[in-house]
Amino acid sequence: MKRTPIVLLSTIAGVAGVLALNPDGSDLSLGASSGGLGPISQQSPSSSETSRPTDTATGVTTPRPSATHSSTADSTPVPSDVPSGTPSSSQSTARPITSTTSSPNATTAKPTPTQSATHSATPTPSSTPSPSAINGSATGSAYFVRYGYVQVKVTVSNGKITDVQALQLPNQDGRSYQISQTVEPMLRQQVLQAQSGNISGVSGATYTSTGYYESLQSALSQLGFDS
Amino acid sequence: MTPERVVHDEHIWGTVVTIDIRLFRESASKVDSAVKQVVDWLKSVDRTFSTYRDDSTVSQFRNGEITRSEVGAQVEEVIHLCEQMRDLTGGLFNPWGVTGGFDPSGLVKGWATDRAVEILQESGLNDFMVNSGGDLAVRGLAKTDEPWVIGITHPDRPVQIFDSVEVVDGAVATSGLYERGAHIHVPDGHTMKARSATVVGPDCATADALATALLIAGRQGSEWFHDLPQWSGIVVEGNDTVAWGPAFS
Repeated sequence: MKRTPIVLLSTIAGVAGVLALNPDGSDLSLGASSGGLGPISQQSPSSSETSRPTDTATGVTTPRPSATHSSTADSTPVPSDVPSGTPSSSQSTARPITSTTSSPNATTAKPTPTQSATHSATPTPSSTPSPSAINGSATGSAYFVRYGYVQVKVTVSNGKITDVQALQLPNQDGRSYQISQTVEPMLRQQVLQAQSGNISGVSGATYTSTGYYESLQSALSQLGFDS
Repeated sequence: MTPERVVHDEHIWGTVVTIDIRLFRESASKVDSAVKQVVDWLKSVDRTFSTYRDDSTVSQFRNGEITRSEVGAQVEEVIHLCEQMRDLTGGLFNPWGVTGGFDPSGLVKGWATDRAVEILQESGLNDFMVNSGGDLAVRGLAKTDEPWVIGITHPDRPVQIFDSVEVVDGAVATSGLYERGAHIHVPDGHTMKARSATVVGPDCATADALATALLIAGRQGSEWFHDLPQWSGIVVEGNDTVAWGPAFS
C-alpha cells in the first residue's frame, strides 16, 4: 500500500509567475479588484530549468526559498518518532532539503523504473500524432460543479490553443462572482501559457477548476486534440 | 472503440470524489465493476464516519454512546492513525480538539481515498486518480509516458493554479483557509500561520493530516517536516512560498 511516490518534476508555471512575466497584462493584475492578496512572490530564480522543457513561463516561476531551520518561536512542536505504518517507516530514499541555491537534481533522490520514460515525456499536446494539422474551435461539455455549471470554448490554431473562453461559470454568490469576473481571465491566460493539456488533476479547492479543465478537455477531444 | 479515459464523479461527503481511470494500455472491461466497488466503499465510509449522520459509528463514538472498544475495526484503525498523526505533528493535527468532540474527518477522506486506490488496483487497473475534493492519490501514468500533473490551487482563488507537481505513484493533499473551522482545530498557543499547505507523498491519509498540520505551522513546520522521508511540502505564508522535498525542487 505504501508505495514510493515518484515525484518527478515540477513543470507548470503558476499564474503568479505568468503574470510576473506579463508586464503589459494589466488586466490580469492580481488583487486589484478582487480584494484578495497580491500574487505569491517569486523569491528565487528557478534552479531547475532543465526540468521544465516545455513551459515558456517557467524561467521565473520557481518560488523556492530555502526553508530555514532556525527556531524562531518556541511554540513549534518537535514531533516524536515517526510511527510505524506511516510512510516514513520505509526509509529508502534520501530526500534533499530544497535550497534556493542547491543543484536542481532532486530527482536523483527517487530513481524508479518509470522515471526515464516519464522524464522524456513532453507533457503537452505535442505528443499527439500531428497536432499542427488541427484547427478550429469546439465547445466542451458543461460540467456541474458545486456552485454551478462550467463550460468552456477552446480555439486551436495550427496545433496551439489560441483562446479559451468560459461560456458558463458559476455566478451564484460573491465568491463565484469573483471567479467569473477576475480569475477567469487569469485562468484563461494560464491555460494558454501552459497549453492546458498537461494538468491531469487538481489539489485544493477544486470544484470549479475541475469542471473547467474537464470542459476544456472535452472540447479538445472534440477537436481530436489531446484526447 | 475503447475509451482512453473513464471518469466518474461521485457527489458524496459534501464534496465530489472523482475517479479518473486511464485506459491507454488496457481495456475498459474492468472499469464498471471497479468503479461500482469504489462507490460502494465511499458510501460505506459515509455511513460509518460521517459526523453529519447521527447514526454513524463516529457520531455515536463522539457522543459517548459507544466506547472505543465498540467502534469496530475500521474506526479503530482510523483512530489509531489519528493518534499517530497527532503525535507525529506534535499535536498540530488534533482530531480530539475539534468542537463537538473527536472528528477524524481531516484524515478519513485521505484514508478512504487510499482504500479506493487499493480497490482499483485489486480490480487490475494500473493508471488512475482518485480525487476526493482536492485530496488525491494517483497510480501509474496519466497517458503514455506521461505522469500525472497535479495543479495546486491558489489559496485565494480556487480556479487558479499556482504550482504543479508531477506524480506517478503517490498522493497530494492541500489544506487551505477555506477549511478554517471545518475539522481543523488550532491548538492553544498557536495561530494558523499559512494560507495554504500542500504535501506530496506516498499515501493520502498521511498527506491529509500533514497538510492540516503544515497549514497551522507554516514555514516553521520545516523543523519537523523535513525529517519525513519521501514527503514534500509547500506552504503559502503571506505572499511567500516555502517548499521542502524533491517534489518541489
